[in-house]
Amino acid sequence: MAEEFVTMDRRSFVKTAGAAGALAVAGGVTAGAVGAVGATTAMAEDASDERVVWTHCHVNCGGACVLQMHMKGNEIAYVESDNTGDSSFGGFQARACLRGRSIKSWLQGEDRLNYPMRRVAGTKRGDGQYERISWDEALDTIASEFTRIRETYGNEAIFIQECSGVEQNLMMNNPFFRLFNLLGGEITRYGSYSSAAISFGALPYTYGKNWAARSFKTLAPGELVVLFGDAPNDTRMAGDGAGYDLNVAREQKGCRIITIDYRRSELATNQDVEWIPILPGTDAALVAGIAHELITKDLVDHEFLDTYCVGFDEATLPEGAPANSSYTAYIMGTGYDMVEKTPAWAASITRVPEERIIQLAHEIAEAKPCFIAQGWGPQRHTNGDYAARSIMLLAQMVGQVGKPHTNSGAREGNSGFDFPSLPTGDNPVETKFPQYLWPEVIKYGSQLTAENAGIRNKPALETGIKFLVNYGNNMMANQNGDINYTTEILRDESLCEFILQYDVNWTDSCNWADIVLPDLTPQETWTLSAAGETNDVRGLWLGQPIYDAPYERREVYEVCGELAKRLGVYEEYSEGGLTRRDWCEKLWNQLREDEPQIPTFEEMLVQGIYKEDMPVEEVTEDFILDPVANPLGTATGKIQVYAPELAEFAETWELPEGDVIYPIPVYFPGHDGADSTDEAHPLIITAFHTKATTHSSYANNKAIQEVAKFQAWINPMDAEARGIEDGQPMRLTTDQGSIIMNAKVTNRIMPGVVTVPQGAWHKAAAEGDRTDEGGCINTLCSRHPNVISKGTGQHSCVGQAEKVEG
Amino acid sequence: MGVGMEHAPLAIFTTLAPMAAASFVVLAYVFLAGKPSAEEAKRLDKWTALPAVFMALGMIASFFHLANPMNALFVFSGVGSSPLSNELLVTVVFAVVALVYWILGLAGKLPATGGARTVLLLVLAVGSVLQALFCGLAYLMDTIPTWNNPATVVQQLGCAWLGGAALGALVCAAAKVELPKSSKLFIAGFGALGLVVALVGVALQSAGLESIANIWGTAAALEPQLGMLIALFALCGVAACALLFFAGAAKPQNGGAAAVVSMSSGVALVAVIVAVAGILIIRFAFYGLFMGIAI
Amino acid sequence: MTQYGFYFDATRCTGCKTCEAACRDYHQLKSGQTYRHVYELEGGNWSQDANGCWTTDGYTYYTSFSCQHCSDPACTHVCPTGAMHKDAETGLVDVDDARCIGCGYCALACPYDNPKVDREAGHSTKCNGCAERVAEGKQPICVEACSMRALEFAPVDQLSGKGAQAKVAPLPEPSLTNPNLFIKECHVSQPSGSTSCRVANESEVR
Repeated sequence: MAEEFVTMDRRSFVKTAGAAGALAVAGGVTAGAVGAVGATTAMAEDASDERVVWTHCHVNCGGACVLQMHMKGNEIAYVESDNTGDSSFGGFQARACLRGRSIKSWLQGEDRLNYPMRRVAGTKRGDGQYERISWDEALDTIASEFTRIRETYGNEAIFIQECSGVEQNLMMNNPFFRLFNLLGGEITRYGSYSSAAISFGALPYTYGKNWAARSFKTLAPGELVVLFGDAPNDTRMAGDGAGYDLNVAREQKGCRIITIDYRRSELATNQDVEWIPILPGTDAALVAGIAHELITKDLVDHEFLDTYCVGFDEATLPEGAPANSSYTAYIMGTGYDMVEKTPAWAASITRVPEERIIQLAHEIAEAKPCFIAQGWGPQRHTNGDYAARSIMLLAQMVGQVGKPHTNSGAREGNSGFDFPSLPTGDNPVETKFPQYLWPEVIKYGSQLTAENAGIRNKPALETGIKFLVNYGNNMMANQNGDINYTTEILRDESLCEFILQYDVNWTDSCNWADIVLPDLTPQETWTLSAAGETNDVRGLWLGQPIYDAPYERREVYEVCGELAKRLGVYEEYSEGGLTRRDWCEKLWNQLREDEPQIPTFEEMLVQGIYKEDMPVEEVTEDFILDPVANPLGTATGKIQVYAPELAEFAETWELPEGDVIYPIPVYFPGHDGADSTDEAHPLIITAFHTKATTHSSYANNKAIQEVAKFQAWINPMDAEARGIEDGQPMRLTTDQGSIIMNAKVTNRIMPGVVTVPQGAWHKAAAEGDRTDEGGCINTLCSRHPNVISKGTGQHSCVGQAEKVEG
Repeated sequence: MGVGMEHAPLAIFTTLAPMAAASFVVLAYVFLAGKPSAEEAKRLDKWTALPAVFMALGMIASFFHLANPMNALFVFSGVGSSPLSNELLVTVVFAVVALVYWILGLAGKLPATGGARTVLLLVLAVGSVLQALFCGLAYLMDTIPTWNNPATVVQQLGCAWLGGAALGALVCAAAKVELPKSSKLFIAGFGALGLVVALVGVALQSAGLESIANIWGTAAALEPQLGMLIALFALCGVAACALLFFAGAAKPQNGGAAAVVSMSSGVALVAVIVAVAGILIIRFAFYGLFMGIAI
Repeated sequence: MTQYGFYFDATRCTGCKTCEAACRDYHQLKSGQTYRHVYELEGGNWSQDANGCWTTDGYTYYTSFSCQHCSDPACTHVCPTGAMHKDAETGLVDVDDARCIGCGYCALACPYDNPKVDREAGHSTKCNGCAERVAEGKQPICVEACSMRALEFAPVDQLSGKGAQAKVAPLPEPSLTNPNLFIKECHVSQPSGSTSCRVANESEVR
């Protein structure tokens, strides 16, 4: 489609921008500065100039969906998605979900950042007082602070937070890494806010890495699918996503699906899918109860366990493991806590009836093949490392791993193009810390060690974070556990000395920064993405700017280039002056060397997207074919029910009070776990991923809120006991804080559990009782991390709900 | 509140227009039974401006209900198929005949009694009933079960008579005509009949609510205060009828034995106000009972 | 005339609301305005056994619908001006803005809650089946947007074999208006008029 874009008339631009700025002031914007934020409106030049611009939606849902922006001049008329190719049920169209479809309203939202801003001198972080400054002043300040802090504390004091808001594309926050790596590097993180426990606390010690994960496309006719806390129709909603694949398999292959979850996800609404309600955070207990039935009825796959696994029973324990340390010993009450894990025991913890547990054990044992998978909900508890490994173990016990039509017990797999991103160069600083602990790194600095905080590549940190770059994220005051604790750390300027927030919208996190920069959205600049990990397809999307950048918004590659000029490394940074568009072309051509069938860049400029069929193969993993010749990357080379690495950690690590490391996947309730309710905290409060947002991205999009509202789910019995009414506000309180959110009184959630849609924007004063009227779940969550991965345990929470009067 | 405030213009229209029409029943009675003098007829014709004003106010109110009154002339294209078109056609035809009657009267072209006046008044009296019936019929839709009931029409007719009696009495009182003795009973009785008919209609509609429900709940839950609204309406209606009965004072006729009645315009005015208030209350209650058959 | 209509495969719908979002976006609807509704219905209860374990007979299902472009529409029947009319070629029901007086009778009469008076615009507004797209050989925007391919739009003779004329809660009995919506019911669909289920997303549809 359109390669060339309408060049906006400068005069009319300035005029209308001023008008929009004035409107923003009238609307009483948080920023408190003239025209700092506001909507892009009324900039049409020539309404007859109608054209379609290809771009795509990519936040951090894990996917990327095609958007065709129907433009009239500089105005967006409406949005279409992928309507190319096979539109039939089962065909490949990367149809955007309601989030992508509503992007017009988001692009024109009143929270958009338009100009660089600086915290007003004399105010504290969190006070929300900002003033407009020039780009030159902003960039000079950033460059000089970078230099000062680097010279004072060293490069380990520099940190670039993840960029959840702009994941998937070729650029992400790589320009900052590329720039800083030319200047001595920065400390980096490991782990993840999405999948810390499973990816860093479970998979490495079970399979060595994410291994044998299969797409729902590989399901066999009539196959039994057992999902734990997996809601692909809530979180992977795209027209080519995992939820779609599963829906297709259910209908076209007659697959039977069981979902084990504390809430009835969209998977178990219209689709004939069985829902087994379970208390949050107790998945490992359910697996233990099933294991008891499988062991006592001799339904386990001995051949598989003996050949491929270590530590299921005493006979296969690795060398050095003590007696009665096998999983069987744990289940039969001859090891560890010496309690027999009968189905009745599991029922008392999970609240799943004993007879259903027994029946489920037999159903799973008899189903061949059987596809067992988990979402990332169960592992986001403080006991998530164990939950994740337990569910994988269920698949191992029945030998349904690594063979055709099976899964690893981890999340279902996917595949697609492996698209290169902007190269970042080498980072001279090798020190890493678990991502979730960044506030602790700021606060405790050199007190954090390998043993007490999982610091890697160094026994202890040398310094805390002093220079913090938040690009494309809402981490500071929204997405990190225990916001009140986190912001107290940020408020103290003696700890982290400089904070940059660079985003498209004025989120609450902006209120904790020293400098705030206005970014372009991916739709407003050049971007290139492969259909993401939640789309199980081979697709490539090239995005072109839908209009000339309004106001003073600027994209990250160019801005880091400006910093590079100030820091004297522009030539290396830009490889002699390459632009963002040039990098799209360069990386495209790089991919084309490996994938010669894809179109040329020039062709892509016209067609916007490229899709190709992906054959679905029946794969048996090499390790299954020959485990000796093809060992896994674990310590023993086998599938580890008993992980010697964890046994070693148990010996050496210093753990928070109450935490214990076990080498096998036991049921360990965890901090604020399901057994933590008491009179003052009678409810389990947890979180789910809502269709309205991807994390906090799009949470301010009013168009989405009209069709899919933020509401915390509560069972009618719990609501009635508290006088809470459907659609009316309720207050949720934990030891960490208090939020207000409207209630959805529904039998879709278990009694005794309240769940909050994750992503709503934090809205609270920096002092006082700090009640969060925005309804951000992280105001309620503790800082307590997973035991092994030191990652996000935010789904473990207990507290109270009450009606909000008036 | 389940009361249909968003339908205020319609409530005003369906209150004022039918009562203006029904006031011609009283005028017909006065001219046919009372044999007014030429002077009295002239004064009556002058004060027929009152029903004309009520009718006009009602029609003006209905225009405020429309999002685009500029297209109003298109409404007659639905005559025969759309109950709303039918209602408006009957109302407009009635208004035109009433206007003709009024202009002829003002111009002195109508005899004080008999002849064209009798014919026109009989037509208008019958026409007023039709007007009220068609007003009510406009709300009978099989997709709105709470309205889709003869009771809707019955209460509309009753309200017209209650209001018409009061308005007719006010015309007579303002015109200072001497009425036959029976008029005291006739006017108050006409109003009382209207009240009873309206209450029968309201009661029939209310009785049906229990058995009506859609996905949001039962019709009975639509207006928790319905009983109170009905009581208020009844109270206003009884008060208006009592005022009408006591508004007329008998006095000896000049040189004759038979008594005549003269109306107090102050009391009649109060009766009109009370009647209008009561009818508005029950009309708002009616709109508040809107309920789709399914959602 | 070739009567067009919608088909809704309730077994595929996951309640994502993309159809509604796409419709609002394409037709540039104002806040609070919608031509398509996605109702979430639920029923059933929870019970706890002696061991404190929970079971439920509850169910939840979504129904997505817009205007049914009925063969016997309530809205055109009551319309005084003829502004609300069926297209002679496609049978799609639409408003003639130049004739509409905005009296709102269509809005009162429609049992599917579709036409609404836009007082600012001065006329009724409703789903027109994306007639201009259909004329170009495209699908209505909601159909093209549906991730799960649960919506279809075609001449009704191509749809009537796929599902029954809509008769699931919260929709009314089809005998009222002869709607051109055909639904493949899901395993928990409740019949029209059912009082055993309730709307679970009132704040999103009302």
